[in-house]
Amino acid sequence: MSPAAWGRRVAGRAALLVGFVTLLFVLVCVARDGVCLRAYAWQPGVGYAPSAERCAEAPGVVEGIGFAARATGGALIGRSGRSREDATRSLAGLLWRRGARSAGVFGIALLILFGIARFAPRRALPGGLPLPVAGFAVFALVLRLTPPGSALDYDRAGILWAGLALALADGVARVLVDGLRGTRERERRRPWAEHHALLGVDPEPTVAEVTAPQRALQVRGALVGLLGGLVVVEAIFGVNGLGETLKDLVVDRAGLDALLLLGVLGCFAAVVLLIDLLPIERALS
Amino acid sequence: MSRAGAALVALAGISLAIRAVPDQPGPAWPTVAHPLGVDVLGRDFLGVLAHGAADFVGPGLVAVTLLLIAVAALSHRRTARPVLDAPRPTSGTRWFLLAAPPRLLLVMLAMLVLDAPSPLVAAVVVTALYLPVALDELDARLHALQEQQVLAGLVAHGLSSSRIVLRHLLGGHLAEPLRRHAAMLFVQVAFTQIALAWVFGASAVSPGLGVSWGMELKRYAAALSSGGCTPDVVCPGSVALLHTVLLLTVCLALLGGVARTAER
Repeated sequence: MSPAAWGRRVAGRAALLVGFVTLLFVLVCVARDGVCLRAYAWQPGVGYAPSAERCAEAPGVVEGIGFAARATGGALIGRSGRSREDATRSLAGLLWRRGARSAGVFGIALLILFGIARFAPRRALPGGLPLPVAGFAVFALVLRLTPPGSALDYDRAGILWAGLALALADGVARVLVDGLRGTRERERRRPWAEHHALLGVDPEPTVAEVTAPQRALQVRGALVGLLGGLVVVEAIFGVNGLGETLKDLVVDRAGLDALLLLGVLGCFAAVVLLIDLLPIERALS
Repeated sequence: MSRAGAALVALAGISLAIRAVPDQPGPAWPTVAHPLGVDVLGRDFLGVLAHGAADFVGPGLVAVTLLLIAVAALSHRRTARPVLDAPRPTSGTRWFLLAAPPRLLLVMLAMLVLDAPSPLVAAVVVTALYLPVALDELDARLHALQEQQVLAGLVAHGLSSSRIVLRHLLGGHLAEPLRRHAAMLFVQVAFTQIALAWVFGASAVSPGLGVSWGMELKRYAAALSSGGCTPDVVCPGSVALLHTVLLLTVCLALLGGVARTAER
């Protein structure tokens, strides 16, 4: 793909995701009680910052779109603003710290999945462990097996154990390993591959290349699936990341921190965009 | 339906006969009256398992029914025009990507919009995300049947549209992929429902049921860490360990069994 075509693809996907995030944000603003966009005031050097004003009625569609557009634009030029939850630091700084924790959980889950896909026998993988159940199974084991105060205690190594639970839960590992291995096995059984083998030519490189797009889709599906799981495992192991932040926003029904919600949605959208653009096909072929 | 799926539905059915409310002051080992014992909150554990299963079996069956209706409508449309008039557009990749957004994340956002969390809305969101994947494969099969003039042959034999759809397509040519997709959809709804019940607290999600497997394990995990057992009373930590192992076994056997049906 030429650089110009790649640039157009990135711009198109980014525009689609920004539009999707704005749509979700406006939907929440319009439909949910307790959302007050006037609790934020625009300050030229900072972006949106908490103000003393309170709302009597829910914001409209136009007000929601305007808020989202201004906040997104401000974030792009380094004025992300300050959220009500933590007004002492910028929203970008807050999301960066929490995003780093989530990235740690996500990265550890990926490492474990990579090891499972490479070495684990298929039948050994759990297929029926829902996220909270897997999380608490790991939690209970950690509680029993690690001495309190050690480096592997769940208080200190929460990111590690959350990553392990994320990798094992919802059958992601099993579906991924079955999918990746099954796709290659099916291709190996095709007549052309058997002909190659009979002629003494190793069919594996061609099998890898032919199945790369399909396997890349499976890997992307698993990666995106893991993102949703962050909401649960971070809460179980007390990791204050993006998933935990979103969970708090959803559960707290008294008043919604609109700027923080927009920021969290933007972060998740950026990760989905990154997963979509990663050259996984090339890596797999 | 697979044996694991039938066992799950039967387990959920038990919830109609057994209550999962505290009727004892503390935990107890299994007896004839309580075959799986009494949990740390004083509830019959078989009742807890049954009510926890009912929490996701109902929404799961609603989702599978929606899938069946969508496939029946698609089959009816194809049967109405059994002869192929245009090549099928290749849309598998596009549909798959559309179905790819994080399932749990979107369900959580749907809950943000609602005043009160609803398990049925969660099931509908998961179904809406999964339907394109299932319909894409089933549509490809129907297209192949048109290509092989199977549908035209059935119509030429004078069979009614409903008989073709119900008996020959849903119960015949499409039965294998339909069973696979139904199992996968059921498992996805169950996983989402259990996670959702845990996030909101079981009673917030479904006030009538009030019990979820995810929530129960959270309670037992808290009891696991409690120490101080004396020989003359039942140790809550030991009973909690038994119930944790039982719950994990049921999850792996039943939900894992349905998941295996989806992979075959």
